[in-house]
Amino acid sequence: MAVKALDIVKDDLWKNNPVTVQILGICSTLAVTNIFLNTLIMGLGLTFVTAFSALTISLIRSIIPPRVRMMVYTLVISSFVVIVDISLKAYVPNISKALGPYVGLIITNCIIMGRMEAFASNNPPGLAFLDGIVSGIGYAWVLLVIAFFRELLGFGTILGFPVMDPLMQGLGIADGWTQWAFMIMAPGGFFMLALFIWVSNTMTLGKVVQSKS
Amino acid sequence: MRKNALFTVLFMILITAIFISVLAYIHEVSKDRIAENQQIRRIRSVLYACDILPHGIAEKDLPSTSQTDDIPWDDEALIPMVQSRTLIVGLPVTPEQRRLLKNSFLSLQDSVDIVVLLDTRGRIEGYGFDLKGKGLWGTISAFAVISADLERMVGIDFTEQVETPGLGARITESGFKYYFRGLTLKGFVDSRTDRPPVVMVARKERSNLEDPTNSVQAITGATQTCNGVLNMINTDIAFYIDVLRQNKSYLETFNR
Repeated sequence: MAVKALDIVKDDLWKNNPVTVQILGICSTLAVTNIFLNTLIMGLGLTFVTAFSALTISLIRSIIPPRVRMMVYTLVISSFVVIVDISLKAYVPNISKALGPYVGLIITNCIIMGRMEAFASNNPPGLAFLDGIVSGIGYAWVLLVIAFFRELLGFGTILGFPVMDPLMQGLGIADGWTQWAFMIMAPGGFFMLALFIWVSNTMTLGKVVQSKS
Repeated sequence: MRKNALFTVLFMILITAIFISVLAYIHEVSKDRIAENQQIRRIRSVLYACDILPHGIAEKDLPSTSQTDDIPWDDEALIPMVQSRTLIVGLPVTPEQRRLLKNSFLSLQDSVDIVVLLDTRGRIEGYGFDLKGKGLWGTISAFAVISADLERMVGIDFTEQVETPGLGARITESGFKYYFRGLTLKGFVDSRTDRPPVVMVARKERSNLEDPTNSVQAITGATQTCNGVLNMINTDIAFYIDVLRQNKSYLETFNR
């Protein structure tokens, strides 16, 4: 059990990361990563939905009729997404407004449906819940790294606090930081994601080549 | 086989009922809070566009990137403040006016709601109304206030937009909206010229409060969004000015 839990953590966070290896959840990766705070909330929302959907599916897995399992997954996932959406609207309306339709689109995120079908429907609730949390974190940390660079280079800020302007002025550049508008737009998201996948694949493949030789 | 089919149907009905009940309960307990948040957001927009800011706050002292929600409002004082300074009045829209606005959200309405802005003595200071236009990615909604003589803009707040963050979405920043304060609207009543009543320029040295003109400063890299804002203003404000002029004597009865 402990060994399996450790394997789940290693797989979801790095070896079989949903974004960099399985290339899932790309739409939201490109859409929300231009602002760090929005990405953080999106990551937390997706982790919550994946974890509790996995727990629910695992608990009822023995009574779900196989022919309607996808409908049941969709029902469970969309219910948790609506809970996230209502909570954001009620308690953090500014962030809810900033994320706009992307919260609702968590329903269509392939990572969640993929984990329900591949893992939660065949494993006990504890492991399914852990897999849901770690899959969500595996998605969120990749997005946060991308968002860190996009917001830093695009706006010169992190979490809205000016970083690059004081840094440039400290280095004697009086005009401060020239914002890279490219980073804020969708092409900047493609560029950063491709860079991230390149770096992560190079590191993973490097280990594979070494172990073979 | 039949047994299986029946179980499947019953299972789906039961699980759907359970999840819908849970969601209905969560919606029920949070709906008042969500409605309150939306009301507060609307009041902030109305007060901001009316240029009624919290005591001791001047817009030109705010960071140019600040949003309406960043202004340190006292939420408890918002409702009494808006009630004491504004009235909502419905004005009829004639079929001719509707025909002129074929593609506008206003073309479907028989009447429009106008927010009448009153000064501290109860005299009419201006009129506020909702605007809608098309941006680069979707609809842009705004609330604008013009002076009682219909000749200048008091202010504008962009209430809904889905433009590119950091570019088009900067229309919600104070630095952009500030150029609309004091904007000359004389072009809407002057039929001698074919030029659009309001234009955008690449750079403005002075605000319209210091040197009133019919131009606002555009956002670099957000041409499509700026054009959308400009079209929205030139189309919708022409309509509202027409409606306000037709109902001038009726509106004056609201002077206290």
